[in-house]
Amino acid sequence: MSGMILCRSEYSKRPYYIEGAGVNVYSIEEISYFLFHDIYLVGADFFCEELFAFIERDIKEPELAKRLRFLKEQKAGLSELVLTILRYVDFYSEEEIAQLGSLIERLDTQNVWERLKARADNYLANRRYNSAISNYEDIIYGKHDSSLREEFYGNVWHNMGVAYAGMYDFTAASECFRQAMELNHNDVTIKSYYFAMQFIRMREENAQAEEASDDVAENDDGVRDESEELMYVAGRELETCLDSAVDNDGYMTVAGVLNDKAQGRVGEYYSGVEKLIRTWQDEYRRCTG
Amino acid sequence: MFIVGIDLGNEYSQVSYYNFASAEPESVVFQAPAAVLRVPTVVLKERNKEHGWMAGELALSCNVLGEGTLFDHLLDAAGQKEPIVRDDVTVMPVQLIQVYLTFLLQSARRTFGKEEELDKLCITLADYNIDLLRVLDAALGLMGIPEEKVVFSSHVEAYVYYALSQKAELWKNDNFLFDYGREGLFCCRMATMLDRGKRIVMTQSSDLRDKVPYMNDMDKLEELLLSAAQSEFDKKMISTVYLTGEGFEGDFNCERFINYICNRRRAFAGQNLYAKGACYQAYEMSVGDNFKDFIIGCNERITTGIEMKICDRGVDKILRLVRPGVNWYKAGCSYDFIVDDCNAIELFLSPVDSKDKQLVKIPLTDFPVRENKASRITLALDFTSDTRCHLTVTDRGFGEFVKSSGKVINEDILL
Repeated sequence: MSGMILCRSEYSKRPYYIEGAGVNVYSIEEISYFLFHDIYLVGADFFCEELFAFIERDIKEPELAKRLRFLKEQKAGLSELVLTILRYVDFYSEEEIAQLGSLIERLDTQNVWERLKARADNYLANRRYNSAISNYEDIIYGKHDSSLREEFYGNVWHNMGVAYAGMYDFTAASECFRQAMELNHNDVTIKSYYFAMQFIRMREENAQAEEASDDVAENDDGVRDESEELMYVAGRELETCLDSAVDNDGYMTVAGVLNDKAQGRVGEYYSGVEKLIRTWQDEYRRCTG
Repeated sequence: MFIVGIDLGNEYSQVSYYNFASAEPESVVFQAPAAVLRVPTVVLKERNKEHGWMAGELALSCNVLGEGTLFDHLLDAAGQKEPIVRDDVTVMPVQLIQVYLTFLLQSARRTFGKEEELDKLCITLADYNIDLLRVLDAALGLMGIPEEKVVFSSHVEAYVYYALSQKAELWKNDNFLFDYGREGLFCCRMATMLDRGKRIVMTQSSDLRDKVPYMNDMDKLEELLLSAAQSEFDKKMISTVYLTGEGFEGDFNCERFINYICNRRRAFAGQNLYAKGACYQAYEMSVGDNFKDFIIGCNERITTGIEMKICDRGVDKILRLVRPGVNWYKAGCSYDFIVDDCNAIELFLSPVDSKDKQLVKIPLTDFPVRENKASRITLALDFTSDTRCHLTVTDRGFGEFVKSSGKVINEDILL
């Protein structure tokens, strides 16, 4: 279904403000885009009379507005309301819409912070680290929800640490893991903290890194003995990772390029360097997107 | 319904309205009982009266009496962008046109005899140019007449509508028009042909103003007219001839020419062909459906359709941006599209007389690369003549999600 998609509806002169996302929308296509990409921020309260009036009066789609009002009166689920708009515009394929439908049904049971975390986790899984961090920060520095346990916030700190680590900012990552440990008391978090500190040490960024590796053991009186065992396991894991790094595709590609240089294959060397730079540039753009 | 056709000339104009009872246009008479159909294209600003205006013959009479300031050759005046100053009166050209058109419409309404709102107005012009059309548009706007109620046409178009509104036997074969006025002879041949279920109407104009100028020497005129007719009719099947213009009035007496054009042909003479043609056109464009299967490809009409490949509601379709057979003025259009995995716009040009379509690709490489379905573009087509249009493609970004780059692609397309 690729090509030029005709916009049949009006482009409004006055926008509709989507409060939860802090964004103005001007067309039904933008509403569809928001629903598809930011479904984590959409709750039943999104479908309100102001939205219906905007669709009817400003975008000039009275038929769609009438359908949404009817569904709302019949207390239709979030999934049905969202899919009504997506199918009306026919902006996305049936497969894309079907996938979204299952996700919506799952999200329907969650509150706004859980949905925001799911959105951030989605960014993290797709290595869009900057976007993930921004969303995690919204949760951490936003209004605390007393219905959510400390473990939830700990996991948010942890994932933010993973995002920073993905961008090689191990100092920020280690701080996030430290905050996470205090809240979720999770072994994975403790190990992640250890790894981050080891990378700092390896980079010789912080002379205090050696002291920091002992901090874990001192952090929580109740887990001192367990964390020593944990540190030992983590240390072995790190050694194994470092040893097997040479078999990693990325490592082998760089090694291959350096080998070309060593062997005097100048053309292949420069071509390889160019490809690597382009790949890293694309990756950087995605990660910081 | 109140439907009006106006032949707006620089020196004289004519008006007709559609008579539904007889299903024919009726000409407005300006000077009974002389039955004068033409009215001078002049207005007069009355002295010492702030809003006092007159038009037509009355304006001329008042001017002789020194009761005001006369403005004539209004279409020439409309071509000027600066205010017109006469004596100590300063006025904008658009206001002069507004006054005159108001007078014409009031005259038509008076003859029509009913106080009905105008449903459709067609104004036909000998000199069809964009500057004049814009001034007329502005004047009609000042008169409160909505754009959708107004159609502009060239004299050739008005002639075509007149000819096609006669019995079919008169236009099945070629028709010919001789328009002989103060500027000389102008000819036009109209031919129709059936193609894929549509009747295509084409014209071929000949400007013979240099070869046959306006003159009073009947003998010389007869030679020139006869020669022109023989040349134009050579190897053609002309079944109907129309004569119009001042030159064929009064003392016109070219017997050999008349005999030649009437030989095995039907011939008609009259001075209100364009006004009535405009009225027929206004009728067809409002309620008539006599020409729904016609494609009129004469002067000032676009003869090449422009189509575009699109995706609508998930289905690949062809969107017709411009239909062939429409007048180029106001044939422009604008559509918004969302770009989905596409780096060029594909336009198809389809001439009315050919099955072959020409593909024109407009690359979008100047626009930033974005994720699919996150770019809105506006495609606009504007015509400056029946063969030339200007394409503009504007990157609109995607609301607040993606900022517009501000980039615009411009392309001229020759049809």
